Amino acid sequence: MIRVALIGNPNVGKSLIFNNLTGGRAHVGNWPGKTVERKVGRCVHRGVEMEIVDLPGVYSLTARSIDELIARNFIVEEKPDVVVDIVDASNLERNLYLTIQLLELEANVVVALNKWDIAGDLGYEIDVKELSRLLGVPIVPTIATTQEGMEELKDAILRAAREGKRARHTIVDYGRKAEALIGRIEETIRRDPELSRRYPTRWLAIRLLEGDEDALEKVKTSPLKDEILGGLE
Amino acid sequence: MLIPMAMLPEGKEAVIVDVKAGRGLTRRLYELGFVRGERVRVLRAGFGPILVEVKGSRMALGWGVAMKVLVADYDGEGIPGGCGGSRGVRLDKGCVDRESKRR
Repeated sequence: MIRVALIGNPNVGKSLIFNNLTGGRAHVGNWPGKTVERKVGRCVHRGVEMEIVDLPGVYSLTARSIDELIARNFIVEEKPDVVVDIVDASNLERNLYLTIQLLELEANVVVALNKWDIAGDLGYEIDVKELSRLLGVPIVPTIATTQEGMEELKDAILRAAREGKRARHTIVDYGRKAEALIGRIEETIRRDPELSRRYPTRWLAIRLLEGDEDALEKVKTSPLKDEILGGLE
Repeated sequence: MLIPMAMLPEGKEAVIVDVKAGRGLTRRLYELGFVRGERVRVLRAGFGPILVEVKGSRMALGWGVAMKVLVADYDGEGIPGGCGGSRGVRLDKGCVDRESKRR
């Protein structure tokens, strides 16, 4: 069974795509200990069963709000086979911010370029092939309201699950000075087998430099804690 | 003239020139799209939370938070006092340096 997570900004048609994929049958509950709805559904495509988890709609993955923390922890800790990032094609600039964060998390991302019709009505011409090349992930244009692109999306999910994680490539270059620092901290993190098994090392290094509290919490138990934190000075 | 976003009248369009907040809030506002050089439009004003349109989304901001976002009249030209020369979200070098100095 393939484990798929759906993520995206608020109001991108995430729930509609969830319903399209699962046929509207979902198990609804709460995330443990949180009053945030957790929806899980199933779907069988070409004989392969998929479990689809709907993550809260978020603008970023900074772990500052409970929604963001849930979404981020699910991706980091549960490591779903595929993360479908639903992007509002009529508002690319805002939406791609989350996409970049997912790529830094080294998730196995498939982008659904939803509201494709609205983008067209607005006169936007999106070069899907080039965008896919720049981001290094498959992209499927979709119109959730008319279910267009759903079969293609499911195919893309299957393909991504089969191919597994792509080779990571640096999406954002933070500049010479910051990159040197990131590299040094990452080097230290790599020497802790437990940390480097659980978390993408570059991602963790960047979050630590940002002073991200959740990330600082994660390295607290590491035997190399002092050396890692020392590197931040 | 710079005024806090909370003071903008309804329907008024303006450009963000600066965000005068601590690191955490600055970061949060930046994630929501409130970055230097970005255009905003106030949909609902008054005392208490305001509703603003930014980057194609509507956001409700607490009045105190909206006071920390400084804006200037949008005249369709460059940004007065901003470090970006033109409209857009690119993080200009000056902005990035400022951010990192704060650390």
